Amino acid sequence: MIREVNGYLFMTEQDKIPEWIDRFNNNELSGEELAQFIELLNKDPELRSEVTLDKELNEILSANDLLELRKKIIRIREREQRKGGGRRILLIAASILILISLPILFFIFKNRDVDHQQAKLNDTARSLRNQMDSAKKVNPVNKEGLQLLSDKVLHGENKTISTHPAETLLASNYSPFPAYENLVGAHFRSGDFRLILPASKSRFHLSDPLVFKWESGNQHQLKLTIMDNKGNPVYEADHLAGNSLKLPKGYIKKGLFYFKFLIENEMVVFGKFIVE
Amino acid sequence: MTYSDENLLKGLKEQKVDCIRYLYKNYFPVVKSIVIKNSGSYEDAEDLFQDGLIALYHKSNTGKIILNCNLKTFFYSICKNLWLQRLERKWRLLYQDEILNEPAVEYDNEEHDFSELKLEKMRLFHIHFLSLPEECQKVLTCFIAKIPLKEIAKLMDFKNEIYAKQRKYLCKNMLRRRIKNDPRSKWLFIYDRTRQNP
Repeated sequence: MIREVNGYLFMTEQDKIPEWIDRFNNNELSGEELAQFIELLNKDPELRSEVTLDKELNEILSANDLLELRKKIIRIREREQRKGGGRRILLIAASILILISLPILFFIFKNRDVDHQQAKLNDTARSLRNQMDSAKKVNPVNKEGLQLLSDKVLHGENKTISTHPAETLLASNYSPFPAYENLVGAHFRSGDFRLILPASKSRFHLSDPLVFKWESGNQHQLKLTIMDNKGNPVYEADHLAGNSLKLPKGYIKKGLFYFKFLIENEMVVFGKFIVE
Repeated sequence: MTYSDENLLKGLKEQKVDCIRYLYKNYFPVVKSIVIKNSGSYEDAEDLFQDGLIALYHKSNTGKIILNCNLKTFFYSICKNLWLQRLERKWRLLYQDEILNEPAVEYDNEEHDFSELKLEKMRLFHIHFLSLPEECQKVLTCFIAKIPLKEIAKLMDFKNEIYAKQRKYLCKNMLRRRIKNDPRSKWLFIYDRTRQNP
């Protein structure tokens, strides 16, 4: 019986088979031993395959150079794989680092983006507030407000402030501006100023020139402002001279307009007209 | 460092480690692509590379290699040829009943070349031999080299020649058992038997 202990084999005296296999393939068996072995071989196919294997082993192992080459190939392969393994570990570590840092970076950038958007919103809100404030100033809803507007336009001469945007809907150009409607026809301390044209609530055709005529003893600091139906000034003229003003045809677009005359910053007339 | 094909063959013939390393680094990817693209695994590719290199070494030692192409292409064709034979053998074993009795496809191996089956057996034997205890490897190497018994006993520090012989039988028996217990060897020997007795 053959036993393997710690990688070593121990054979009892009764077990002659391994020895006989080896000696048979080395032509060292003879006489009674050879006869006995051949008899065993004829009976046992497993033994036959063992003998064949041993023969092949002898043949293959005898080519020692091939065995040496195999050793070298295996050694090189193991070394290269160790190197590749090291590289693989580095790659895995780098991947893990990226995987960990990605959510952190995403969180940081997302927060930064939120802050940026918040700042933008604040800016927009501030600018809207400013616009509303200035709209309140430019679109006065009472007498004092109009006075304020007059003060503001004192510094310029005959300048157009704004025009209607082309895309403005026509229907909306004719809707009355409630705050101004109350001022139309109201009595002001006009002194010796008398408006001749346009007549109250006149209608002009777009192709007609727009003519203002008046009589006034005091020619100093006479101002005219024309506003659209949203309260936006579309024409302003300071220090008007003479007794008339003619705006060329097409200068004022279609829509409902309000106008006011001021002498020394005091409202003397507030009226309206329609351009069709 | 780069080698010319001639230098590589010379280096392989002399088993220079640098040349073998160069071949592994530069030629293994080619072998891997053959195997992976043709229903094989990475391990199959490593086995095939070893077999291909042994075949190339043997070819350069026994026959005269006339290169009509570069060495890499030549090595590629050796490996591809071996892999196709290996696949065919394995398919024949898997579908024994249907195709085992059909004649095997013949590949254009030259007479002195190792057959695919022999290369696989050789690899199996070598691997198990190299897995033996070092003392066993030495004893068997001494016997294979036909060193006289007396000298082996002296070299190995054995008490006498009889003990040296016993060691040889034990080690050889261990090697045979390890080979027979390897599942891969069953495929090799079944195929051998079926080819001998169809």
